[in-house]
Amino acid sequence: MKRFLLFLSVCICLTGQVLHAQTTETNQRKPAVLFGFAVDGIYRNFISGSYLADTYQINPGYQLKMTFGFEGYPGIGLYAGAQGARILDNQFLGGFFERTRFRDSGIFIFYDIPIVEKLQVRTDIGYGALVVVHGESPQRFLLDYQHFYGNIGVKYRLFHEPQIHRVYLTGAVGSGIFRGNQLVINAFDRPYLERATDVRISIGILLELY
Amino acid sequence: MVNRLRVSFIVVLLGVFITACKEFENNNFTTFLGAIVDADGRPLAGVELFFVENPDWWNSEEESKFDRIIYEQRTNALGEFRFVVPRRNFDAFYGIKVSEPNLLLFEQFDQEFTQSIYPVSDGQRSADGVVNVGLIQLLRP
Repeated sequence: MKRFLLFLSVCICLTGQVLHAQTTETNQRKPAVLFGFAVDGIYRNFISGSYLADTYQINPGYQLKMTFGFEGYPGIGLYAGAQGARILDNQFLGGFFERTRFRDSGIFIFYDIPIVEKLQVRTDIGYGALVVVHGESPQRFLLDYQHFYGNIGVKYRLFHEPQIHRVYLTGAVGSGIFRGNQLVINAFDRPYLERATDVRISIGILLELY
Repeated sequence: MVNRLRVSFIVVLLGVFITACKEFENNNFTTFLGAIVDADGRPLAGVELFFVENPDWWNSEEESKFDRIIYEQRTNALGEFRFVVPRRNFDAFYGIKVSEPNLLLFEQFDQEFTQSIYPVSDGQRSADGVVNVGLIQLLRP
């Protein structure tokens, strides 16, 4: 039911944005095709009360994004990123591992709302896979999570070359829900390990090419 | 054509080798569940237990040996304990240890043992990774 409601809200949001963009006067002309490349520094913190929150102290990491869209319309993007983490005292990993990395990748849709000439608000929602990598191969142990997230942020135009490229400084805050449906563990501990919620902030540079 | 087949064969062989060498099974945990009871079968709460790796439990003449202590835990009000570790691709050996001079009474290979370490293995586990250790009798001096 939750997934259906989420899917429904995404569809309504997308349809609304497309209709809005199509009926706006400034978008009556043929929209420009935009390719975007972004590098973000990201800091994520899981809300306490879950395994991911209580077991790892996550360091700041990075995220690379690639976007595609038409100016004035919602766009689509891919992202991949990584963060290091320190393992805290816990009752699950048995002290077998010293190093941990969070690898994150997925797909998202975004929409930019112009505020003033140089400033835009960017909203995005996405679906991704988070892999918690413990140790090094062959003593590697992976935990797989899927997650839905939403971000809201701002884009400030630093400089641009009309009809060629634009460079933005970006910042965003967001939150996501994580589910580890593939985890195999006793029934008592399963809810604690399976579910988590995070909040994140990011800052970065975005290059958009026409 | 023959070269391509050779390369494919080597790649597959390498993949099988790498998979076979993996020590841990991703996304899987093994849970050891059980309870500590006294000679009359009553649960014992607050018993200090150590979950140890690779115990040398059969060497009864010497002081109990093991690689390291993984967890330290006390039994709950029902005398129960629960130890969770990442699942290994091969049968891993652990032990549930009590502080000496306390001892544990258990049966292995149709023989009765009285030692400070109760050996457990994750070889026989249920679909959710649970190894039911059962009731272990604690002998206090």
